[in-house]
Amino acid sequence: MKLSGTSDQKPLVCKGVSKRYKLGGSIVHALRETDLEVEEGEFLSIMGPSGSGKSTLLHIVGTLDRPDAGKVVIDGIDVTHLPESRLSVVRRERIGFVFQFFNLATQLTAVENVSLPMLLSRRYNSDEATEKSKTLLGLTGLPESRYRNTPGQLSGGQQQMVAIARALANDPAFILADEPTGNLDVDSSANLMSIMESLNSHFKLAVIMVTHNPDVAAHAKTVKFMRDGHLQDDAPEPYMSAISAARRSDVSPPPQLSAMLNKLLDLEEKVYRRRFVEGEMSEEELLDGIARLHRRRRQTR
Amino acid sequence: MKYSLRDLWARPTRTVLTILGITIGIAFMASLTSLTLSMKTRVSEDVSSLLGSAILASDVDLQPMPVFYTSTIAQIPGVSSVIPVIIGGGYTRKEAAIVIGVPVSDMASFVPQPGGSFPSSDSALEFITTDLGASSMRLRINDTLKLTTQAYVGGVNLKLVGTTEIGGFFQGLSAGRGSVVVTGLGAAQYMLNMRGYATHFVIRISEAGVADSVVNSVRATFPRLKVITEKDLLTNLNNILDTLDALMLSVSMVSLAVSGLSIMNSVGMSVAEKRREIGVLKSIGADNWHVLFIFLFQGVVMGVAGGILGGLAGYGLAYVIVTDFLPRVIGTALQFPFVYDVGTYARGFVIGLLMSALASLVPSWGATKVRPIEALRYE
Repeated sequence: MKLSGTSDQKPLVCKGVSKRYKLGGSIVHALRETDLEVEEGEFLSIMGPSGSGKSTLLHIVGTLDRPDAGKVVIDGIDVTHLPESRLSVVRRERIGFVFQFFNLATQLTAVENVSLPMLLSRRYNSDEATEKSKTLLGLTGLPESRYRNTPGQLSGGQQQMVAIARALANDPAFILADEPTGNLDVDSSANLMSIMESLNSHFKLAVIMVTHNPDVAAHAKTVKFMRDGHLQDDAPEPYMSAISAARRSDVSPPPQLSAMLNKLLDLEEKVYRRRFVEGEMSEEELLDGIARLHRRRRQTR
Repeated sequence: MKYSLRDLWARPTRTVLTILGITIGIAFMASLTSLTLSMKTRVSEDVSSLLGSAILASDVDLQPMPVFYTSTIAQIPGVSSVIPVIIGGGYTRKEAAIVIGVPVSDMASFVPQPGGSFPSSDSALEFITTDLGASSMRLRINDTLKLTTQAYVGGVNLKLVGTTEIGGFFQGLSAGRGSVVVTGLGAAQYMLNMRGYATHFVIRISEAGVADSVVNSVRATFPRLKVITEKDLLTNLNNILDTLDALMLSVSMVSLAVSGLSIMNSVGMSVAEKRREIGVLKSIGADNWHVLFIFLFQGVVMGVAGGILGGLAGYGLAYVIVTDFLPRVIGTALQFPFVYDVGTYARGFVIGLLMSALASLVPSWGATKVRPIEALRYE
């Protein structure tokens, strides 16, 4: 989405990434010199059998693990050898995670869960974070009556909506989704993928999704296949047929999407101005940020 | 902060039990320290009321001394008065008694004004005692007590003319359950067969500054006299009480250490249960300090809650011990004044807080070592 991102770089570039594990007495090559580039607005699905290296790639791209060789660049930042303290900033501001089991903070409400990354980043104050959280939750379609519910009071589909809103909180360079529908029923899965597709196509948000399910993968613009640690551009025939059969072309955005996006852009501009007044950003950063927001506004129109 | 607190309240039983543990530790420490302070105050009051700015002189072998020493000692520069006193023993029908003989003219300076009156003269076979003593001997004013001494095995009949509450001279000498019989000096000399003698001299001085020179002069004039000043007595007694204080503090520290382990256990369990959630927090951008803060804050919150409750409970415990438990167990004669020093409580609170922070630091530090990949591992 990069409403307020500071970079025009590609969201993700992986070059020659390799990873080995010791398993018992033998060495397993989970990734072998894998290359991957993700453009802004790309929706990439990675499929493959168990043990093919999908999860390892996801961990490395998400900066949860480090490669043995190769280079990972996120939004123009080479994260390959960054110390943990700086990696946490990259995760906070450049990557939005959506997990199979939602992984929401069980003691916090939906709004508080979404606010958490914003408050951790210290770019937003409490009121701004709450306002943005509500807008993002509205964007995912979560009923307003559920905003004050804790995860235990929400259905699986609703929890995943909260997880998506949380992933969008700090305007990431891309969303990293690990089997996002793996724990949802058919209707909730379809609804979730519709949301992801809308965000991708209308917000130019890059999405990288790992899934086993061809129906889910069919929502992606690009499908890559992982086998024996290599990332292949074409999936084997049974997969391709299933994906083709599931593909749809009628993605209609929710009617409130443009209004929501404008609201988010307005809020971001307000945050920029407040931070400038409070001395948290320079005039140059303010003007640059506002110019980006206006450019984004024009794209939306 | 909100996350940390919500997590704490999400497991109320464990949180309450941990806070209770800290409360007990702090209450124990605060009440024991308060008790020692009460003892010190009591001792200080006793010594002060016993001697005031005076010096107590007796024979090194506790042999009786001639009363005429009085006039010699009185001539030493800085001495304002010298009072001969007899402290001896006897038996009532029930128990041992302490016999104290004081010149009636000086009695008012040692003993608070009694109910009834002081003995009519030095040699009158009349006495005053404490309220507790009168009650113990089952005597009322004008009743007669038969007191047996070494000199009068058949007993001497003494008339009770006054009773007084605890305090003054009695306070220092009447420790314990034994009865106290205070008579004029002449009557005591008669009963104990010490005519013309005294066992102690209370030397009053004109000002505190001359105490050392008076002590030196008394020692030079009467080498057989053992001289004790208020300062000597207080120092000796305080040394004993300081040892007691250290002992009580050690016991309190053990109690606090147990509380610390309870916090460590509680926070440690929380960290163990939250490994996945810690991983999630890290994957959404929480750094090590955020994670450390969450669990450290929980420990500190429990420490503060336990500290406040422990302070209040310690106050109550010390009050009950001093005003109810001790008088019942060891008798009113040893009743302590209730002293609750805010500094004592503040010290307990700060120690409890530091201990909580320290105890929760270990598991909290462990929480920072959780890798964000844990968020996915549990899937």
